Amino acid sequence: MPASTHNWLSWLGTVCLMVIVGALCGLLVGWIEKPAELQAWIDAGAPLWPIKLSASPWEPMFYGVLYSVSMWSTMLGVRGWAYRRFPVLTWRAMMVHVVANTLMLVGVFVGLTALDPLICRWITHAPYGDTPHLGTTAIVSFGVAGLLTSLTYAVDFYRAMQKAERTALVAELRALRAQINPHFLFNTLNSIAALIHTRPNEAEHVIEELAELFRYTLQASKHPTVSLGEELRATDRYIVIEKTRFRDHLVIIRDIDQTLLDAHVPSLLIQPLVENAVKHGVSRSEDPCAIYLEIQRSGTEVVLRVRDTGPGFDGRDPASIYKAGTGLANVRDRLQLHFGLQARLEILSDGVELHFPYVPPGDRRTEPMVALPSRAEV
Amino acid sequence: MLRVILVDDEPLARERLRGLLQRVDAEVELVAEAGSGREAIPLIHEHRPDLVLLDIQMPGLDGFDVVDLLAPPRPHIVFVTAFDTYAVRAFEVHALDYLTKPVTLERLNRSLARIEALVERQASDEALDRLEASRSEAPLRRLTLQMGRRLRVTEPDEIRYFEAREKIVLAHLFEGKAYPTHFTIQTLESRLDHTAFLRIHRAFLVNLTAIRELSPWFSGTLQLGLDDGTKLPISRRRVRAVKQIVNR
Repeated sequence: MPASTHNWLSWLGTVCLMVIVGALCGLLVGWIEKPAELQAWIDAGAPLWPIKLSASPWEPMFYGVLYSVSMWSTMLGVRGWAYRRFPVLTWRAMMVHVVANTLMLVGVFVGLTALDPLICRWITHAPYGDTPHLGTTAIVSFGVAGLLTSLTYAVDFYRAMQKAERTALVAELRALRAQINPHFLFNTLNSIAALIHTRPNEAEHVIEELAELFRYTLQASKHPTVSLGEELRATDRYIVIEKTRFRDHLVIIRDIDQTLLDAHVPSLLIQPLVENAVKHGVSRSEDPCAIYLEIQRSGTEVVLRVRDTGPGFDGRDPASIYKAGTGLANVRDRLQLHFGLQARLEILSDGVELHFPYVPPGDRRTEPMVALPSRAEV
Repeated sequence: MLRVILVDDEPLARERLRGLLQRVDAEVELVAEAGSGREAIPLIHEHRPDLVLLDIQMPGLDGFDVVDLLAPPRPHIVFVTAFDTYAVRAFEVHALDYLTKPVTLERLNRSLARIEALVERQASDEALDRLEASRSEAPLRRLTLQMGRRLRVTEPDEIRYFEAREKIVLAHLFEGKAYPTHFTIQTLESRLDHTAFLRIHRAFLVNLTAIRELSPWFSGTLQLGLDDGTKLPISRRRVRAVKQIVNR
């Protein structure tokens, strides 16, 4: 089934559900408040259309549907607007959703109630004030809409958690695969074998860096958020190891705003970018290749650039770059899961640029609500 | 005594092999080391070693490109690789001898013993012949030209046209000089980029960027004028193809 048909059907389903739930609410209220009239309606052999809306039980059902549809649509609208901007993973994002929903729902409720005299006159033909169960119906459908909103959010949260966990695990897996990637590992072991006789100190250093890099990667899904400084330290370890292999062939030029080192970032954000630069830049150019690692502040944003003087992307179509197993798609996904639409990844002709908000430590609002479980611990 | 050349772009990898070569059972002499495929080709040509220990993953010219560009007589080659699925598959298909990094002394000894036996019998390495045959269709990204006693690695786009004479093929460079290459004109035509070079005659293969004009010659044939004023004849049966490409 094509996606558009699927979407359309799911919308239709949602609308039907709104109407049915609203009608049931109304019916329930009508039943409780006017059992006699309802009974009469049923006894009359369930008269069909046309029937005056002022006659019970259509009136409460009408109000039920009206409130249910308005409330529910409002909630879906708010959720649709805030969904990608503020992924429901942090307390701050949750607050944004709750406040936005409450404001909008109360607004709609008040608006509908204010219009009630008009609704009474034009639609139900009942004199205003002669609808004793109106308030109850409205409040019940308001409550039901609220309940369903919470349920939808619970599902959203669960899905977002699952997705975050999945991409974190994918990142960890990718990084691990890159590290036990036979090419990287065997070349590194080969370097160590060469150094061990002639320069044992350097050999020891490389082994230590390799061990620490593995440890960092193994813990990545357990600590999905790290400071920029920690992430840079891990990246430096990787660079030390590659520098052992490539020597003067690999030149790394850093331009890093040191005041940003405490920023919160998803782990395994920078190392995959540098690894790409090594794999596609340094090891493919005959002349020495420079990798530029720049981290700067731009307003409230952090701008992180990794460029290299290798062959570059040759203006290739970004979709093909994401697909080419460069790990960039995963970096982009994790950035967006972490920061929502406030973050983005741009592909430059000679590298990659990340933009994301600067979030200093101690800002509990932006910490993940639940630490993601690590499969490695099981 | 086996005369050996080491080719690897990583200094430490060369250091490792150099160290191992001092400890092997066979009698070896390390005659030269190269840090790239481009460096390796003239060195191999100059020193005529018995064996080349050749890394596969190198920027620019990789190990396979080096094999493509070696002029006969070709030395024995043992490939060295950290791990590359593509290369390993090629090695397995052609039953080639290859060493994996980190190279072990034991494994190196075995390879050297095999090469020593081949050198003694003056036998050719059939597996390597098979690899070369399998690459007869693979595109050539570089060329080797004979400059006096040296071999030079050249980009195809430096060449204005190729000319087949008697038994040699001359590459005429844009810079004006001409040098022999060991490739046949048929090989060049089939393995160079078809959108860059055009066969206009049994004896001529021309770089499209050099073509300036078509002019009539005697008895209804045409000749091709190049950017430096050179006029080359066009075979009667190739006229239509040449016209199509030139007029495009």
